[in-house]
Amino acid sequence: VLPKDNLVEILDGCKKGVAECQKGLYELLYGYTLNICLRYASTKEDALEIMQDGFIKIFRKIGGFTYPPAGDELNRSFRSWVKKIMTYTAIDHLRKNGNHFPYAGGYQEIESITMYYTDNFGYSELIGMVRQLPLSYRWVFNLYVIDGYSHKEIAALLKISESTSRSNLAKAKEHLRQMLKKTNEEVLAKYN
Amino acid sequence: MKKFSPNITDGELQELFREAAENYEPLYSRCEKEALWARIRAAGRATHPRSITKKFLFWLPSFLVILFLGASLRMSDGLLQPGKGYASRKPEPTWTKDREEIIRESGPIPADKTPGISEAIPRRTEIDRRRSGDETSGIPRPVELPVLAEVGKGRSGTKDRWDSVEGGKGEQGRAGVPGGKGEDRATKGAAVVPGARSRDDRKGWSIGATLGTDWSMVKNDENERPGLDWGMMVGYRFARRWSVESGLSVASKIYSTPPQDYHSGVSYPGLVSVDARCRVFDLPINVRYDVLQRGNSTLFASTGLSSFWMQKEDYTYNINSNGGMWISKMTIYNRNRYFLSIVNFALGYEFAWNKFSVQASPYLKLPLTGIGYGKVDLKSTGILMTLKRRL
Repeated sequence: VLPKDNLVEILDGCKKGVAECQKGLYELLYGYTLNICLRYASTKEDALEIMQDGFIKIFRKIGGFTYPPAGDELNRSFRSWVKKIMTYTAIDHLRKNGNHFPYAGGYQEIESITMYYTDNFGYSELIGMVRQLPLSYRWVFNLYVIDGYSHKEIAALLKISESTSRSNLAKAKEHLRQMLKKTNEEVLAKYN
Repeated sequence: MKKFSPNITDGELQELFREAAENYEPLYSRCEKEALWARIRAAGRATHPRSITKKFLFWLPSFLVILFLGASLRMSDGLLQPGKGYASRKPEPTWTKDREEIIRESGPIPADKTPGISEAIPRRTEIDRRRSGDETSGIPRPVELPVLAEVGKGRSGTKDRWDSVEGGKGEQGRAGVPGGKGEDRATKGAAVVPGARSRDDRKGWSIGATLGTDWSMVKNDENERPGLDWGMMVGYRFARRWSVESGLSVASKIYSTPPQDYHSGVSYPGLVSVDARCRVFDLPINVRYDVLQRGNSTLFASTGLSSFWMQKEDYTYNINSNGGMWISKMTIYNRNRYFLSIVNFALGYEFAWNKFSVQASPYLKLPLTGIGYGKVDLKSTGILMTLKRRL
């Protein structure tokens, strides 16, 4: 969670283009944006490239970010704004690198995943599962399930039909279910 | 983490992964974080809003000051009236009255004892003729008074007025005195109009010292720190509005550039950015045109070419390797020189008193070739203050 008092000060500084405030905002948002970008990118290097372009857009467009009337809403509102910029940047990055969103039929072979019952590592493994999804499944799953876009919005963003979006989501879920099942069996076998 | 079963429902599955995404804290190293920030800065775009603001804030006041001074000068000349725009120049109705009053106060003038007056008084006709023409559109009216007053009251009190207008040592005050140094000039008519004559007198050499700021940038990626620019100049005015200026200045050029704009011919794997700090001898030769000349104030524009002698080039290479940031430094002395390869543009305002003048001029320097070891497209801007003395 971003500190509220600091955030207002930092955002004001960023709007004036103060380098120290830009660095401060970068420090605050690094983990949050890395989380978003890792979910969309295939590799960490891709995620960092998306983050680089995303931060540049944030600094350029921050003047247009308007504070919500209630102070408590600022954190949520700003995170949502940042997430939107990072998501759009990730899509642009994918297009720029010649990747498209074909309908992906069939399943890829799933690598074995070891799941431990420690919370953070569990989250990490779950995100790892998402990152192992085929590209077209991964993007629709991220946009729909985690970032809350509708199929209509996803179709417009990725330039696919709504039915393809629904189909990819269903296959992504099935894929993840398979991964969870396999992991569960491995864990159970380990402890039994 | 929530426990899950193999037969997890759609809703549970979505909730599971949503929670994981919200709480997931990716691991990263400090070096990785700093390296990415360096990349953002090196791209030169993280500070884009600041660059635009700085450029805007730098140029706007300069042009506003120049416009204001220009408008003030024209208003003082009667061409521009506040709230009315440009007014047509009309013959001054009080001119004759003032002149007659002055003559009346001075008493009758013996024609045989004041040969200079015979030229001074009829000068009205000549001045009227001159004022109706384009040449004297900027002649200040009150300067006639001291000459006429001097006829009846002697030279006392007139010298100061002439000095204040002309900036000279009062030689114009002697214009109406028989045998005075300025007699010939006075009788030619041009001498009674100090503003016009002074410009002709200013032909000749001048020298000066310069001090200013230097903001260097590669392409449009402006750096955050300005350098210093100082030196000396010499100028020669060869016409009323035209002069040529040259000199020698030492400029500190500080900039940062991404690797794609740095063309040293050597490949640096993992190069993120290059920070440069160069000491440059700048030898400009510029032609200056005085756009507006009013009294002691002048607005001018100048353009020309500069030669650069790169006396010292300090480069710091920021390299991202094995997940960490590394720095490599290099210094080059007296290696690169560029003959008349930089185009100069400047606007400025000059204020003169006696033989001295001070001027402020925002400038822009654009290279015609790659500059320095990295052959970068190095632009410079800033504002230069000059203290000059006419010789």
